[in-house]
Amino acid sequence: MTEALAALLLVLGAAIALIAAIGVARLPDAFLRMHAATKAGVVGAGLILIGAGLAFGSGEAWLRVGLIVLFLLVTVPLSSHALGRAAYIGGAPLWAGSAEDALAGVLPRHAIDDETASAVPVQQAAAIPAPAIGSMPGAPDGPARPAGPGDARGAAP
Amino acid sequence: MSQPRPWNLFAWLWLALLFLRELLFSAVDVMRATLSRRIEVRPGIVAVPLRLRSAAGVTLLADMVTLTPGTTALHVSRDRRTLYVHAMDAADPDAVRRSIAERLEAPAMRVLR
Repeated sequence: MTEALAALLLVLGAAIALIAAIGVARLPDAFLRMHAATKAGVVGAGLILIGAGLAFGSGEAWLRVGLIVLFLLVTVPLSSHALGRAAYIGGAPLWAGSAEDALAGVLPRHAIDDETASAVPVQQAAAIPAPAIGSMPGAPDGPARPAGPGDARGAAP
Repeated sequence: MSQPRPWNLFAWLWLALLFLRELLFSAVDVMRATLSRRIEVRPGIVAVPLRLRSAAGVTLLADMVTLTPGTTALHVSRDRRTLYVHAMDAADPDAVRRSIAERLEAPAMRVLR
């Protein structure tokens, strides 16, 4: 019984980690990818650890599991916070479908001059406005583009 | 609002339970968004006014915000009065602010100021 439960938790955790990885590959901008990497990552790793705790069963194993989960909970948000802030300042484009950008004008924003960076997955490119990479303030010779209805940055000066 | 009681273990435990519940919901949310055929989210960066004042309190809240439904903390203003979060669903920014204030900040204020 314990073994079956442990196996179930391990498989479930691995599946969630896999979905998190798919999310990192599939979601359209750096900030959305951060969501997948942090939440699903912590839950996936947590379930795998609890499964391992069940499988080993000793008090020592549980102590380790508890400490690792605690450190995950404390450190993962820190790295995600630092990465997200750095991504914003570094000029990582917000997906064109974004609703609003309350940070505009609060934090400095650099231009990304990487023409291969596409914030929109290919199969959706037709459905929503083109990625806003070129229209960032200060971006060199970006193609002019009418601001989409939901493109917060397009409306900014 | 009553005084925060940092040594109230029960309040911490309650906070941890609330937090675990939110964490599970958030994982499900993100997975659903990831696996849906078309990615239908309306993300955005939302400014959330803070009632917590201490550095420790804001840190705790920012940590919890990052790990709960569809929000990641991006920045805290220098005067510590505003938290900027990236929300997966920011179609209604007021709903984002309300959900953070009620579901995370209020319980956190029972342990830290």
